[in-house]
Amino acid sequence: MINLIAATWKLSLYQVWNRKRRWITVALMLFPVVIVGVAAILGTPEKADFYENFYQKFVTVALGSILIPFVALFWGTGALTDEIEGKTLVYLWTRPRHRGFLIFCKVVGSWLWLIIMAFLGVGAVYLYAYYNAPAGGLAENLPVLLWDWRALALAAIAFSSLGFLLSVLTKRPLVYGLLIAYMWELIPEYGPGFFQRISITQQMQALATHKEEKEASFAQKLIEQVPITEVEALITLLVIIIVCVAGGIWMAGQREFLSDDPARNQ
Amino acid sequence: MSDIPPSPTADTPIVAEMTEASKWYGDVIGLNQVSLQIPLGITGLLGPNGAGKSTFLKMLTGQLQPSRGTVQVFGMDPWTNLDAYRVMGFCPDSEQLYEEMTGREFVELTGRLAGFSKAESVKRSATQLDRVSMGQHSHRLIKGYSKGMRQRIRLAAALIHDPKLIVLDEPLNGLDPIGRIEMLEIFRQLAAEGRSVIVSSHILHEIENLTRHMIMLHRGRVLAEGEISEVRSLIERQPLTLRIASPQPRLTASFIVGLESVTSIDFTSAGATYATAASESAPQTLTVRSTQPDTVLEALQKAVVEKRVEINAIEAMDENLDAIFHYLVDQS
Repeated sequence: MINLIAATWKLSLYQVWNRKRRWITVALMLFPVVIVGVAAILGTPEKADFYENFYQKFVTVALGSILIPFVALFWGTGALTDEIEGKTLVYLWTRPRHRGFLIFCKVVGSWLWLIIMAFLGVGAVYLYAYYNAPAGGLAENLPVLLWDWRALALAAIAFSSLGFLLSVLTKRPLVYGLLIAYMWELIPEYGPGFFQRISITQQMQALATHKEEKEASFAQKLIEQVPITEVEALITLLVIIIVCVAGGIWMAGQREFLSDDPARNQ
Repeated sequence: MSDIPPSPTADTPIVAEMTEASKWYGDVIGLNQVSLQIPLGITGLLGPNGAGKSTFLKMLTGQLQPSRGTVQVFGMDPWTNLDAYRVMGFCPDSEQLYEEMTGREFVELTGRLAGFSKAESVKRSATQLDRVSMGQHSHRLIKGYSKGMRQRIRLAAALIHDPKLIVLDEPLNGLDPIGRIEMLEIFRQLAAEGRSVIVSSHILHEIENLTRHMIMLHRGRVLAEGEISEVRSLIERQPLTLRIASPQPRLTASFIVGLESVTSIDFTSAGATYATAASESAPQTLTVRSTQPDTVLEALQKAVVEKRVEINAIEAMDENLDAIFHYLVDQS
């Protein structure tokens, strides 16, 4: 088991940090820091609540809805598709290891970089917003940083797991993943309550914004836009992660992955 | 030819078996009701491009699931039983590798994936890299490797777990004549160690130099199986065209022009074909037609080894191998 983890860790490092990609990875990781830096230089806020609003929008929209889903899907789908496109899958597939578990271990390796990325993003905006905010200082708001980091990290892992599942199910997993992240994830905002219950972004936002709990029946939750509680969001994200990972591992062991299928070439 | 292993007998153990195995890719058939047994030793898998060799090998190595029938390797179904990979090594025909890794890193990685500790992987990879003469180049990045070096690294990776069966998909493709000789020697050595080796090729002569036992595939079916000499005698009168790339075309031609089996030699340069007056200054291609290509290859081998004649590549032209198969189909 340790040997498998060591090997897949190396493959994961190769996927994220190989010589061709390392500058893209650095750029992606530092992108939120740069945006916050630009905002700090250009921003001349007049409203008292500017900093808190900026912080919240940056975490839930810029990071949670745009950047993190993209990177998580990119790395989550890439664990398998990079091997297929690079024609290197055969070196993994002809080893005495469960194929799905092997790719899953590779996906897990990328989770570390997603968590670091989330921390860098939230950390940068946190420093900027709460250093300047009139309502409170950095130390007092430390729990906010930790909650939001947890929310973004969980959302990133959920999107990455979704990417992993899509990669074993479809030939263009990144396209489908991006459609889900940037189109499907917009619907729950305006649709009936049921939709927000199965949206990763909505769960992340529920964890990050700490909305007050509201008593509501099951039927109300399905129809109305009843805020998702923290516990519900945590459970839902964990269920999404477990279902995607288990489904992905199982399916990878069942399917053939050919890059030179003659029927496909005809 | 004396170091070619003897033909398998009825007592030779069977290492792999296919029973009524078929593979469909949608409406396209890759392999059609193949039933055969692969004995211990070296087996050549021969067929023109598109014959189903890769499908056959991918099914044998558990990368593809048979649409019908069964595949067994040492009594295990390689599609469902991952333990089959503990006794089987596969060297694919694809050139692609992890370009930004060094050769040594790649071979060690396959060792870790096979379940060995870091120390054991390092030790085993050093042994296998030396076996394929890549020890001194193994610290270089793979992206700087030639085709032959990539082939050797893939072979080292396939051997790292000491498999009893080694499956090699077109392992001699793109190798220079000396590289081919060295590779064939490694395959013979593997067989001498008691391992089974399955080698696919679309060049009959390559297989002939390695083993007496072969399987011929054509359009997804087994066309012939058994002693290579039987098939050889069938195609003896069928001329084969060889394409030889050399910067010394006239010198190269001088070694084969006197052979009885050679029926024609053409020089080709930058798309033009002419029969005489080829310049020695630029690399050229000779197209040689021969009724006994092995005599041509033996003469060329001698020229390379003894007279230091430069030959970059030798290949049997596909359409001609196709012609051989059509000939065999007509005969059968």
